[in-house]
Amino acid sequence: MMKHIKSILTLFVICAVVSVALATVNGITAPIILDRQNQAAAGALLEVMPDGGTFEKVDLSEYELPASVKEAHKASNGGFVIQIEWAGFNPGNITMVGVSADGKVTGTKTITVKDSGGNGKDSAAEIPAMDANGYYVGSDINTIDGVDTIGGVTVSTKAYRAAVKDALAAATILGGGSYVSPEQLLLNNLNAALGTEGVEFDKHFFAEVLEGVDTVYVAKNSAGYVVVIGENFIGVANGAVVGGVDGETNAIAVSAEDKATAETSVATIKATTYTDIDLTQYEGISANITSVKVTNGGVYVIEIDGEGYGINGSYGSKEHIQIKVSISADGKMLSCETVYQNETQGFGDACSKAEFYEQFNGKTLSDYTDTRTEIEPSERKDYVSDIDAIAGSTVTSAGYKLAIMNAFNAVKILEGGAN
Amino acid sequence: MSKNNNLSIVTKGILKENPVFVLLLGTCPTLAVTNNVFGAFGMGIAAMIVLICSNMLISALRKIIPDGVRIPSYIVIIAGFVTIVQMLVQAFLPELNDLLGVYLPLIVVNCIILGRAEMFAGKNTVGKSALDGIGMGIGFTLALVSMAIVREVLGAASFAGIAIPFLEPYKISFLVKAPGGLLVYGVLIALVYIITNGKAPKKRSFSCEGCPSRATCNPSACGGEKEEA
Repeated sequence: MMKHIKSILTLFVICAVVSVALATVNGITAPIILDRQNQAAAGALLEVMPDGGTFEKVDLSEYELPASVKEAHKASNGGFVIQIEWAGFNPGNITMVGVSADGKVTGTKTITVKDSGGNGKDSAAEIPAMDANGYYVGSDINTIDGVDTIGGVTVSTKAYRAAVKDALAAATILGGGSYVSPEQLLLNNLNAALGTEGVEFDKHFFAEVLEGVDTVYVAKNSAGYVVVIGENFIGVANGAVVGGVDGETNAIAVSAEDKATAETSVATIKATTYTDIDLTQYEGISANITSVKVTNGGVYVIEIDGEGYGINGSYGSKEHIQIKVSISADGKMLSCETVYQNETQGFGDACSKAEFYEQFNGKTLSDYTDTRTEIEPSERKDYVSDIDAIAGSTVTSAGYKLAIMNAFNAVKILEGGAN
Repeated sequence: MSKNNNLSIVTKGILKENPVFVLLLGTCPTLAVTNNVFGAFGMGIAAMIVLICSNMLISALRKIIPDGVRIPSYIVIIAGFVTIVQMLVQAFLPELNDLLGVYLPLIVVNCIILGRAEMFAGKNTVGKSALDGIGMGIGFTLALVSMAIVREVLGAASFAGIAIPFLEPYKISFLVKAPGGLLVYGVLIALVYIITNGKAPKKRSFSCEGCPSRATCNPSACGGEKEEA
């Protein structure tokens, strides 16, 4: 028994003495280590804001900031250094952005670069080079969108630019100002036009010809429609205009002409009917076309598979993207959207974004120089030379264009033209 | 303690019983940190400090610590010294801390430290244990640095981070990677064997005595005899 007690006591005393020794050394070294860490952190902050002086970390929980903002430090000169995490080709890129008190970028430094690849360039090299060259220095929230992306690494540099814009917005908010993102401003305009609050909207797929109208949004709660004509948003509920705002949510008096256009457009949308077309009655229509309907206005709504890269496939695989287009009887594309895609994140999934597929709206077959409906895989690069292809995603872009050429071809056949 | 005896305690760790090339202890940090001379030297010195301090304290407490809690006591003492060294390195040599990374705290489980505590410090005086720590520490440091010189100079065309431009076209990048480390390790073991003319101690000559695992391991593997239960 005594033997055990002695063992326990001995081990206890050794542990206690070691603990005291560790506590003593920690008491000496901890402030030095902390000081070094602060100096290192301040060094990184000073790199993007050389005139920053000293920095104080900001508690972000009190502010509503863009989701990409992860950390912020307030400089003694009134500016901010914002840490943002963004996704280009890959998620997890982390950039420090210095923003001066007057809202201009003082410097950027990407401390974690996860992006790599591109078309003839490598974003892993281009992004640090942009930081080193002060690519965004001097830009503010109003001018940042005008800064060019870099060809060959468009996806990365576009995402990077958006992230820097988030940092500028965050600095504005942290400085006591207000900033409304374009997405929020759009939502505010839509609700203001319709006289609603907090309602969400879907963009209407144009399956009919609506003259003089840019875009139509449909309230998800069926409260009505908002017709966009130029800068103006015009709310239509129960068939009649209920209000209108300019692009800055300010109420406007809707002109009689716009009122008539908006009401007619909504009436047309509501009156549109769809009739399925039996494709077996026609020869020469691509087997990739899965559905064709014709509206009472004579517009064809076509769903078609395109051969994308496919996240589970290999080059040239049949993993498909599925798109929906509407083409008028005279061969003009009214609308185009992605119904389904399974493309590689950061590369091919750009095809699901309106900025890519909306480039086909308003086009006719004569707008394209290469209108083939079949190509060899090796010909894809040349095939997409007449569209704004997704950088680094030739396969996806070619698959998209091929599907659209087949849709145009189908309309030609359905209208009785030659194959 | 005669002067000759003291000197032999120190010198045996350098070549004859070199912990890395003869006793084959501490292989993990040896392979991990020897792609840079600065890191290898830092690791060697850090391990030597821990070795000397832990040897001395364990030796001083050898008659107080009951046999049943011997190993836990040794581990606590070693871990304490390693943590102290780590905190000091973090505070005053942050570059070295970044270079050694996780291998610095892993000195706690370095076989050399616990091995010398068991085989030497637990049975000898404080003075002799300190000399053993110095000898083994120097041997460990020299081994790491010699490996690092070969790997960094030939593999990265640099020395302690300073580029050697004329070697750049001829560098063998493979050597700074893990397989290259094993290759250099093997070659240097063979070289030490040749230098000592095969007179490096056979495993039997230091046998299993003092080994923490002697009661459970295969006795024939190291030339010892298994203890009877």
